[in-house]
Amino acid sequence: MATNQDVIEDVRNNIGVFAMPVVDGGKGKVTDITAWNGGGYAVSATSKVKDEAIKLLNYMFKSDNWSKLAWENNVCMSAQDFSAYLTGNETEPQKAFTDLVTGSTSITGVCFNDLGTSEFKTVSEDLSQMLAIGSVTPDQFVAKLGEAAKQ
Amino acid sequence: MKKLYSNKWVILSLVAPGILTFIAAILAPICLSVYYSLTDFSGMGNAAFIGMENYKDLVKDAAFWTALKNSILLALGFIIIQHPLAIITAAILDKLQGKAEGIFRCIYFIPNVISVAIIAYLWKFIYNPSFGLLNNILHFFGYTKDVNWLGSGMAIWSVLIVLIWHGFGWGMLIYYTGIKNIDPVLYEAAAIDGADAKVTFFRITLPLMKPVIQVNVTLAIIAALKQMETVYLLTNGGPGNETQFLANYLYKQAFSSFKYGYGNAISVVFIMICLAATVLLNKIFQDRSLKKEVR
Repeated sequence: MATNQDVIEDVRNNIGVFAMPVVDGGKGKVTDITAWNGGGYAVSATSKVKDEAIKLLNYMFKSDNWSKLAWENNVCMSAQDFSAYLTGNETEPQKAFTDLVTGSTSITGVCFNDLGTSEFKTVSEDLSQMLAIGSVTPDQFVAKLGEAAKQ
Repeated sequence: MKKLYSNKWVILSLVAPGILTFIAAILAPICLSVYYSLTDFSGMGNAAFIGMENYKDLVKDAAFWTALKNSILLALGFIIIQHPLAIITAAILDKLQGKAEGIFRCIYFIPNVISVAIIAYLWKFIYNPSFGLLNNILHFFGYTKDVNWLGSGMAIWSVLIVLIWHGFGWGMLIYYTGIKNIDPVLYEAAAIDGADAKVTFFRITLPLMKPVIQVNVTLAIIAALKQMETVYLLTNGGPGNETQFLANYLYKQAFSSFKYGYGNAISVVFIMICLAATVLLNKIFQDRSLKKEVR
């Protein structure tokens, strides 16, 4: 968005990146971040070309290939350390983002609702919206989330 | 030929395709739906019979009642706002004559020709709180705050406006066809008697349009209850189920939460509501026409 000319200038120039502040009395540090990595690959145990498939995946995801090409072509941010492949033409948000990711002390793999059932995912998303618009109190939110988790 | 038509096997063979299609495409799915509504089926694996549990949950489900309330609100919006406007517009269009008639008829029908997906995204841009058209217009007139049109409290009205606007052309076109079918001799006779436009509209156009209004209002109410695509693309029932509609809620339960049995329970209640609405509307319109005949 920061480089997209279709986005109006006022918005384009005011995009920034910041670390989620620490909650007072919370257990986490500011460098403990949540990043959802978009999926993964698997090879079937009964595949006729199992070894070759694994070799291909290993080759594809070598940081010289995946991380470098993905970053240079603006495809996505690799889950590996990609800081060695910066081109020097990065925008301010990209630089700030890279600093945050490379400086993190821990990254949780998946969001909490990805680990639940489909029903829990829907309920938790609805509840998050309800909390944001104030139709449930934080206490009700926690109680209802607990109820949904039990099911 | 007469002998052929009195043969019961011939009659059966002529009626069979229609009946079979009805059974296969409508009756059987409804029966299956009723069956699945009594199970905890998730869409995959085995379905265990749980009796009326889904229906009991449904009665206690606040989101379901919000969805029903919104669907009824939309039906009222169609009847109170969309249809009177559509009839008046159709009557004015009929009086315009010439090129203007065709041009305006086209303009009013354009929203119906455009795909629902495009309509939804178009309105998302119009409603955008940061750089949307609507807020920019407000800024132009000196209003400095950014209104969140699809935010809490405001979203349902924003969605209703889109739906009423989108269905307007269709309703208008049916009314327009109805008006075109009225014998022009009646208008000529009224004009000779000195009736003005208002009297002609209320005494000739409206009474003769009754069957068209009946069909159109019934269609509108069913459309309101069935509303799904626009809502799904515009808000998906959010924020926090505030703009939830029956059909969208059904879809969400069955295909997002994978509560297929529960989704079917909603669909069974949904069918009953649609049937009740149709019967009720037929009753309302029938009673009035009967009373008139008695008079």
